[in-house]
Amino acid sequence: MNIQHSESSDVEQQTVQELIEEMKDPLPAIENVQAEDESNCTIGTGDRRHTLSKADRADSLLKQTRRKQLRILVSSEFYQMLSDCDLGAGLPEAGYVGWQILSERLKHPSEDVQRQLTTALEAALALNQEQRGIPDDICSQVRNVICSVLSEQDWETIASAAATAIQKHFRQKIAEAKATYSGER
Amino acid sequence: MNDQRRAEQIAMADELMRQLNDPVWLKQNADIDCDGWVDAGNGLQPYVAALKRLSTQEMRTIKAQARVLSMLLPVLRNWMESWELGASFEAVYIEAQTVLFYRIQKASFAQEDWFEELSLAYAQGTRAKHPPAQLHKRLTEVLTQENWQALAKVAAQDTEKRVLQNSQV
Repeated sequence: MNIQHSESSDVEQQTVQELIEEMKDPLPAIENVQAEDESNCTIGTGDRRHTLSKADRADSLLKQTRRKQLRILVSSEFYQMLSDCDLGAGLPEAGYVGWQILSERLKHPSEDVQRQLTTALEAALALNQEQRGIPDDICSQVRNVICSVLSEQDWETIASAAATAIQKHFRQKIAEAKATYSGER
Repeated sequence: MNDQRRAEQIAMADELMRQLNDPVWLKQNADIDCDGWVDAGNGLQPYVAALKRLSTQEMRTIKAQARVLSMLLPVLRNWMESWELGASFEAVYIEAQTVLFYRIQKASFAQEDWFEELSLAYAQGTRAKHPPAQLHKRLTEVLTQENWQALAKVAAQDTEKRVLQNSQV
């Protein structure tokens, strides 16, 4: 896969920002997805859905809900992994590029990966509502899956995206300072 | 000051700085200090001996450079801390200290005047006459474009290394 990690557009940056916000606190987001789909207010899946039988619809909705929940669980843990690196201004780009790669790698997961993720999701959903955040053992399980699906080359691409972003950011800071002070005497 | 004399002074200052930053030298001297009865500062004897070899003028120059660094480094540190460099800040700041020290030693005539002003302000306790914004401006000029590029590269390399290190669970 050839990941384009040149400059992201404003829209992409906004999407990344939204995703990052969602990733920061995954449990409510996971629960919201379930509540949203149980009340059948998911929008935008297209006309095809209307032709399905009720049973098919229920099954399809359940799968869709699970997919969304898994997406939030995996993306939040992935974001946490990158946050742990303390990348400063390099974090959004690393998150954006990394999530593109990770999504691609998880499009056709092996049975083992599916089983591990499903187990982690079920454990997360079984949590007491009073509990804040996802426990470490579940996070660690998801983290293991992430590391098993991302290759060394994938990590190099993510690292390179973060490095390029921080270098650009640094140069921008200097350029801004020079521009600010150039008029002063 | 003629060029040869100036080069000798720079070499001497470099040697002193190098010694203090040399982990092997520090370890050897720490071992001397910690082996049996402690004679505090014993390990610094070669450093002190090197200082004694300096002329009054050389000593004055080194002290002035130290005062300039004392004026500029905290400002540079605070400034860079606001740049969202994450954990790469430490590596960048360490490199920035080296670069700045080098620029102070290799100052142009105009810069020398300014450094003298700073040294005097430090000695007289009138640092407030040089607000951070003014020092930021001068720092953008004192460090060359190449210096800034080098610092940006340090930030990039450190960031890259950090991601790769953390990719192993």
